[in-house]
Amino acid sequence: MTLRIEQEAQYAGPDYWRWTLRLRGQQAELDRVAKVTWLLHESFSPSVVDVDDRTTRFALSGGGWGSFELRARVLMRSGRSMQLEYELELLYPEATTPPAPTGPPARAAAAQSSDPPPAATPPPRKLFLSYGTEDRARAAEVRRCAESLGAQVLDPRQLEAGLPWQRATAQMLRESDAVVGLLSSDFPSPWLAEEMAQAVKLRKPLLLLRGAQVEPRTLGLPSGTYSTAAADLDDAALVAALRGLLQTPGSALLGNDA
Amino acid sequence: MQQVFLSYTFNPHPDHEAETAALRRRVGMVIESMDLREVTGEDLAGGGLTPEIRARIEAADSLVALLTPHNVAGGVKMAPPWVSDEFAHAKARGKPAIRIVHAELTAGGMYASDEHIPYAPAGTADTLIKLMRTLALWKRQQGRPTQVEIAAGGVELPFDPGQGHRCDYQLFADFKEGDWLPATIWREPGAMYAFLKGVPDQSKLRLRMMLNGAIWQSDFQNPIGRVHLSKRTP
Repeated sequence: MTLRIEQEAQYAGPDYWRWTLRLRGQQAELDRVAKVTWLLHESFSPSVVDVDDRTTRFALSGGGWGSFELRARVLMRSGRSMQLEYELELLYPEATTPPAPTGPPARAAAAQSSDPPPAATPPPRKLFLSYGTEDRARAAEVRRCAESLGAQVLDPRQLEAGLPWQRATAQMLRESDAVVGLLSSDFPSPWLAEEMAQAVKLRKPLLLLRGAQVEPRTLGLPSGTYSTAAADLDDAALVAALRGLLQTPGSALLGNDA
Repeated sequence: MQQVFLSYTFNPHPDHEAETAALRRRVGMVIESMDLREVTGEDLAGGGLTPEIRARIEAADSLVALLTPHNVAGGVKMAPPWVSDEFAHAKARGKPAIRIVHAELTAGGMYASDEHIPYAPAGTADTLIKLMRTLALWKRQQGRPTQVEIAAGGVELPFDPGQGHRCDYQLFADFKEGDWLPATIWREPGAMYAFLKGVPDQSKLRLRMMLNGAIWQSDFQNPIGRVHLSKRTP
């Protein structure tokens, strides 16, 4: 099976792109496709679009404000189906300065440049820190340990006041490389529970620092989507756990206690 | 309503450290349990009504002030003056605000006659229940945070995120049009949204944007789904 998704995109500015998605593959294989159902970001209307035009290679055109992850459900004439995943990549044209956002952009688009990349200083890994008010003190310690590793800590409590919290927090989670949740209570804050669920949905490496008597199952997360460690780890153990977490690839599913 | 500014002292009187910490913790948990977010000035070090603190209070939807003993003057236990200042600032800005007043203090100052919730360390449950009812009332009065998709009926809005366009909304209820209130513009990959801090049940709303010197506005409509703007002549 060689089918995959390809894209064309043009910057229509300001901060807006027009794009076309289509299937790519061997002619014979494309001939066996009956229909493609494009599953777009939920902000598109419609966000589920059926295309059965073989001549365009099942092309779908649209426009929008930023990159997003999408799926294509490919139905073969045999009745068999498969699902492809794709990250739409949108670039600013050369010499275009990305405008200041009026709110956090949907997804930062990489600036295109003919300059060679700067010297190899990797960007800091981003750690999203989720906690309820009862864990403020421990959160400060986790922040300190993460920053000692050079990580940038993303804390929704530091969002600019007045922003739509749920959307801004979701954006912050998407930008993160890993997530730590502080779980000291069997009845966690509804915000913590929501952030943990989002982290799992986004397949972020997730570490729950939990109290001795606290059962992570109270969060309702699928098993194998997170790792756990004791909430009272000393600094050295916490740094080691965070280092391991930050080095975990995005889609790796964890299942063991740290 | 979604954000509550929590005003309290970071340096309580030594005799009241544990109970102040416990009260602050429990009040924070109540706020979060009501599906609200607490905002504090903790990372700004506190200790005065600085411009940064003012801005946070103004951006929050309401304020809860914990008046607990901070120092002793003339043999009388006093609350920190900045907590009262923060409370007064919220009231002056028309924000719902309430004080939780420790039993060893009196609720003085310009807003002394305002309703407050008494707090005695032995009766915390009563205090927290009264706070929950207060927050529930505020949520009902202010309405729920709402987002609507901004559309222009097939026409492309001349929207430039670099221009900092202003977006406002106005509510209509009980045969009255409210004031224009600021909305936050939020873009997602496939649509642009206006985020409205509070829309009470049964209200209709209309949206207005200034784009390249022109007014784009909707009619009053239900506060769900898409709002269609059209260009209006002044």
